Amino acid sequence: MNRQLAIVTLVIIAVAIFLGSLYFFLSAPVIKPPLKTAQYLNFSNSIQGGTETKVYLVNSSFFYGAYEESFIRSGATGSYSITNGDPCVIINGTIRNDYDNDYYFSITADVFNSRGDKIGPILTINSPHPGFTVAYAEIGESNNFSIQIKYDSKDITDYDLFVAFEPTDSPPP
Amino acid sequence: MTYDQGGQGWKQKNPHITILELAYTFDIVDIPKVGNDFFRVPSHMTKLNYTMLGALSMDPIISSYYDYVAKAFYYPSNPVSGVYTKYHQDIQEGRQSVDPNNALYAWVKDYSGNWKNVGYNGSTDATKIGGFDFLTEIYYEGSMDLPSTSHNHAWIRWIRTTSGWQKPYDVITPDGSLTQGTWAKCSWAWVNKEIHFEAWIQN
Repeated sequence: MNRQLAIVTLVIIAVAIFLGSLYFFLSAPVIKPPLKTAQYLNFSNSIQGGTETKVYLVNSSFFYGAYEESFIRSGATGSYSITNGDPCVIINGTIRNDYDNDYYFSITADVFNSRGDKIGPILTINSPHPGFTVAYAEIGESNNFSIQIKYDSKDITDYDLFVAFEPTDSPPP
Repeated sequence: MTYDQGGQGWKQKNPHITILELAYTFDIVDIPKVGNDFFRVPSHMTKLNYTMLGALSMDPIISSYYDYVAKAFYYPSNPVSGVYTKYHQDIQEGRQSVDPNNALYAWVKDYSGNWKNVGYNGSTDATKIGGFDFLTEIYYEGSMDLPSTSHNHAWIRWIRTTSGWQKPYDVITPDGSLTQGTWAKCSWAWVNKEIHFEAWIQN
């Protein structure tokens, strides 16, 4: 009898924990950061003292989503693996090249959660290494970029976009 | 812009080995760049903690005809510059090194036999090469138009350590597994204790 009572009690506790977790998960607010738009991007602090570039951010948008493809980035920097369906944050945007040459631009982001932590690394299917994404734009022309970071919460409070490296006439290796 | 990658990393066989310089030979046969598309075989170097130091890359590009660009891309905490030199023929030899003053160098030898400095970074906070790789990389826009009929080849013939020039097999070991891209394919093998890396596009 005592054994049956113990089992029933354990089941009740387990169900209560499950329902409590489900309620917490479903009731947790989805935080959306303010969108960055209509500004010239700065270099990252370590590049040219973080000065302003001639890369104009036309607009940007922010989403919580999931990777739609599995991929691996590996080599001298170690190995990073993304599985199709992994949750992530997505920052899409459009830049305009106001330099006097056609260039490849390496775009990076500082993305912060509700605890003030910077999340990372940036791992985007169309970028060579963790930490940035690449967009090509001819003189005066605009092009789109996408940044993805593997992350399973929905509490991003802010992000800033930067140009990671000096613009180059071929993409970064 | 779409990107695809495969490759292999290496690290020293034991922590007592200090790698200072890598000596390469290249044979970039396949030059399928169209418009702004790229097919390249870079070799990256990192610190012991896998922080990127930089890369040496041979890029075939189109101007009035094909040029080969030897490009060094060096990082302190991020890349700072792409220093390159154009050649009208495939560059055959290259070197990357660090020195005791935390400086990074890249050199390539042109077809006239002259060594030219194509990259330099004076402040890297690194006095040794912790690891390096060879990659096969494709960048393209729109649909891929990168016909490939041949393999590109790259070798690391020698590695300079604090004990002098040594064969790669004696001082390094693979770091992780060989990875393949969707289209960017590669392989490598020990040949006479040297690393022979091949890269090609598989449509």
